[in-house]
Amino acid sequence: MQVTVKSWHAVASWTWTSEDDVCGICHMPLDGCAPGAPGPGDDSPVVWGRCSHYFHLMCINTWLHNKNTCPICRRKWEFARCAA
Amino acid sequence: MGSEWDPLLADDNSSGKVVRCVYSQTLNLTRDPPEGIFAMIDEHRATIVHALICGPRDTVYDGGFFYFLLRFPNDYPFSPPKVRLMTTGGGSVHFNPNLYSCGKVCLSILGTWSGPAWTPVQNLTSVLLSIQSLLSTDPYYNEPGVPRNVVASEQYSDYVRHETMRVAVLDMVGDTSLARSMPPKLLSVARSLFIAHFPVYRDTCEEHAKRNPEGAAFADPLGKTTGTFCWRGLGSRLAAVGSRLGAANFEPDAERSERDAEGEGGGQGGSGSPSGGSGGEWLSQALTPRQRHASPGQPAVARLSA
Ligand SMILES: [Zn+2]
Ligand SMILES: [Zn+2]
Repeated sequence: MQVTVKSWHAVASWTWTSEDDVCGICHMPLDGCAPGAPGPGDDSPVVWGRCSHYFHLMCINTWLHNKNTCPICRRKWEFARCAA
Repeated sequence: MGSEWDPLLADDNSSGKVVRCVYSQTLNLTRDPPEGIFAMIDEHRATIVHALICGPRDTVYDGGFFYFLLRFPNDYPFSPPKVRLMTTGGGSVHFNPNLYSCGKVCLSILGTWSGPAWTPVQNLTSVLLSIQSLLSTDPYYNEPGVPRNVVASEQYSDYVRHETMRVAVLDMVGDTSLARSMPPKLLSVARSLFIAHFPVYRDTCEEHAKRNPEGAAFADPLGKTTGTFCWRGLGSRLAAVGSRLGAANFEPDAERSERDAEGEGGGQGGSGSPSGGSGGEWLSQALTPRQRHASPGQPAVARLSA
């Protein structure tokens, strides 16, 4: 069977936010626990780069040992200031 | 010429972190598999993944099964997996300028080619998709710096198409040591896709037997291989393997009769891919919903060994 949508009247939309709320490196929730962190929350903080990409602090720090670039956009990584 | 790229020569100590990461990335892949890509974790070594990449339709790799072994290092995802192509005809086939006959896979994200390097947001799926994208229509032009040359490109494509049939199809699903070396679940994926695609393979053999005379030498413009065409021989092998796997009587659908009808119109179609849409949907056809959402005991699709 094939269905053709002839018109579409959107009244509302919703989405899970979880997809955006995971760390791109470890794929764990940002408010969860990075691998190797002692616990979630303040023990596993999230940091932003100036490029606006964000990761668990532990995850990005491990990467920065290798290379000083953002894992997503490959620009030079610079930490954004707090409360950006 | 180091061998750092080779997963078969790497150490085998693995941390729990890597194991969890590999497990979740493999699970993600099998839950939402890209077309023509299958993967499963090795039963005994949790940082090894076996992957099967099917040659995309309308390319010279159409219908081929390319079996890869991936080993995830201890610092994964901060460094890339090591990847080896196992489908090489015992080290004799140079399937692509970036896929060496020794099994080395040349890709910048794997650190084996120049260009954008690995970053830790890459994952199993993105690696396999990058490899699949090498299996393109005119692979000759993957060779860096070659000038546009239609004749050379066609010669290379003729070679690759022939070796795809010989090694990536028949050696992969037949009774060979390579087929036996694959995890049985991946082998059964390949065999069920083979059965679904069987009429297209048969047409390919017939069509190219006209184009590449039996016994004519390969004209590999990259000069990496030697050998001769034997499309008629491959046709007989295909029939034998097909009948053993129960594919010979496979006339599944309207598609086949459409193709027969087209065939009667005279064979003036070009070389290359099977005409029009025929053969096109083979992968999606073969992957029925039942297979896509594998249930316990269902052998077809790459489930994880728990
Ligand atoms: Zn993380
Ligand atoms: Zn960035």
